Amino acid sequence: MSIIANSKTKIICQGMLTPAGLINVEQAIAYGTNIVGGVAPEKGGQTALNVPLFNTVKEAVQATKPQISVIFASAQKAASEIEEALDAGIKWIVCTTERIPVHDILRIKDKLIKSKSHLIGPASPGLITAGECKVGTMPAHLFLPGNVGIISRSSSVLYEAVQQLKNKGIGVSSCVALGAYPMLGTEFTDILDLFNKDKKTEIVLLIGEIGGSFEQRLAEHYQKLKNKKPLVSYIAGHFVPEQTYMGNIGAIVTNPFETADYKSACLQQAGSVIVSSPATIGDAVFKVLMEPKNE
Amino acid sequence: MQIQEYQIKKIFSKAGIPILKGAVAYTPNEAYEVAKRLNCPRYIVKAQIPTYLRGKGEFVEADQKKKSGLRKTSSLKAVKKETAAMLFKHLKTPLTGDKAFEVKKVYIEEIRESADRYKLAIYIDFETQKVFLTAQNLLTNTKKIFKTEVNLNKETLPLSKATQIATKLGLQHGLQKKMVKILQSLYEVFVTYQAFEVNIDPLILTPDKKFFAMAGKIAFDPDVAVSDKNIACMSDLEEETPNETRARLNNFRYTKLDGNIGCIINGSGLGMATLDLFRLHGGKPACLLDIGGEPTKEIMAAAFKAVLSEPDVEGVFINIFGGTTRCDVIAEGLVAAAKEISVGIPIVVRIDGTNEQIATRVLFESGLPFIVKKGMDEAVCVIIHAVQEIM
Repeated sequence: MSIIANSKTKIICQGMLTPAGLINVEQAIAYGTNIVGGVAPEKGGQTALNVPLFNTVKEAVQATKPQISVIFASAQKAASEIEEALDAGIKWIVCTTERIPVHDILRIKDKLIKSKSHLIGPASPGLITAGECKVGTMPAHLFLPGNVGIISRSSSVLYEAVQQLKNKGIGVSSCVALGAYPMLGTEFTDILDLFNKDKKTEIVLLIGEIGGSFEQRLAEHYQKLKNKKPLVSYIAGHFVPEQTYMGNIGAIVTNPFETADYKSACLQQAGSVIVSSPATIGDAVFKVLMEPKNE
Repeated sequence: MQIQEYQIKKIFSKAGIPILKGAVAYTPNEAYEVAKRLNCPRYIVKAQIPTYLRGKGEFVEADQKKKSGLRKTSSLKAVKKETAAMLFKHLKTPLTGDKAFEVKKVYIEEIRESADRYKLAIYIDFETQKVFLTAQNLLTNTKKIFKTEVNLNKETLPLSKATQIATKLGLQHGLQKKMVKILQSLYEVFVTYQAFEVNIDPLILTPDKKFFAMAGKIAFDPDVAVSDKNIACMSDLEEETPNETRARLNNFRYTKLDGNIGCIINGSGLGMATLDLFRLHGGKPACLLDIGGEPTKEIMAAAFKAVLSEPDVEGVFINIFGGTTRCDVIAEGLVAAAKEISVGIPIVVRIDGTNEQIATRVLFESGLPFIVKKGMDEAVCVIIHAVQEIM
């Protein structure tokens, strides 16, 4: 079991012939990911890495019926790639592109809301189901298969945390990084629900950061959940000065409700374990896993 | 990136938003000449710095204390005098915190009487992920803000929407038409520059029924500001610190802070986590330099030199987790840079992840005095203590 994707899930790649596309698809295939097609204009009918290529997303969808499309595209083109995937009706769209203009995202936002698709990203390293498949740019060798489900905004702290888990011999069921962006396609709460239903996942680790209100909504949702799994949360940026641009536009504190302190307090009140130091995420998860289950 | 008033006025004017007569001056004599050419009964001399609220600002220098960056005058001589008083002095505003900007030029503008004042704005509301247009009359008692949602897929602001706002502001027919044109022009600026926010505050209406944008704001999408040549070329190089220049040229992200330990990290999340650790252990970062997910050896070397060039830096902490980043590349960049310049302060390298063992070997074999640690917590403690010891 896992969420969103496993080794059988059919995945296509948009921007397959870009440098990032080729490297990551090659790694994904080596990891066991079921890549069924690549999209590359004017290269339809050819193959790359033994994967059939298609001119358009629509053609790829008709031929391969994928559940997921992963996008490697430049910041200028990424929004139109997302739009093409939406039009083709793909259920999960993973966009790895960073620095997409916010205006471009706003232009496709309505279409996204009206569609049945879910967007992971943009600026997301993607998702991974440990030992089965990887979609995006995550370094798969960091992940041991196991029972911790991870929801993250950042990618760098995520890798740090996963290494800490690995050092303790703790593995991951699935890990979804939603991207450090003020415009999120998929809510944290949607992913939490999936983990809650997933038999393999025993506890959920949240790696959030300052800015926006995704973590607050997650806290509210978690509090109301019945039969919930333990939640461990670390929110990065307790000491970032207000209004400071930390390198991604999602992580700017413009009011007291966007601080790491406030978010942590909300999550704690909702019943989550709070980790205050990024160096002890592994320890905290370990401790919760060792606790006797009160059933 | 923030541009200055004279640049905003140029953008407004090009888009068809009426602005008052004005021009930039770099010296008191130039200011005199500019004012003479403008030929108005009254002038305002405005300090040009890349921030807002200059009118509520205050100079650092004793002779200009309690004086703001906006000065009204009624003679050419006074224009010259006020320019001389402000140039090369340092201005703080409520938005700049402790940082003061040196005034390197002024903008001389005519003063016109206003019969009415308005504020117009178009902005992205990140909470609802929508774009709104707002308008308000700043002089009426109600201060009511008229607000309407705007669809970014439209190339121009629909006439019906602009007219609706103009009507709500209570403008009569002739003025309504002018207001519609201004709203549409403001929308054009918003879309052209892919801004987070644009506003005119205030837009004045003169007794002879003419509108003028007296002041305004354009807040850029920082990611667009880097990649869009039309915006990047407006970056006022005179206002950049050497390290901001280095960051721009090497495409890394640089944040100046107020401590004494220079930090280099890969990824903004790890940067925030590093700040968290420093505060937990009682240390203070001097700056945070994010080299991104896939740095080259050259970028790493440039980053290291940039941090060492900071006068406040008494120690350097390099916190790299190799996910997509290759640790060996980081190590090679560090060694190359350290061989070029002499390093007399403690350097702690915390390195873990992809190719970590090769990286550690490269650092040891260089014979340079890097303190290499694997754990983030321990590494932070080591650099904090090392810096305290030399003090």
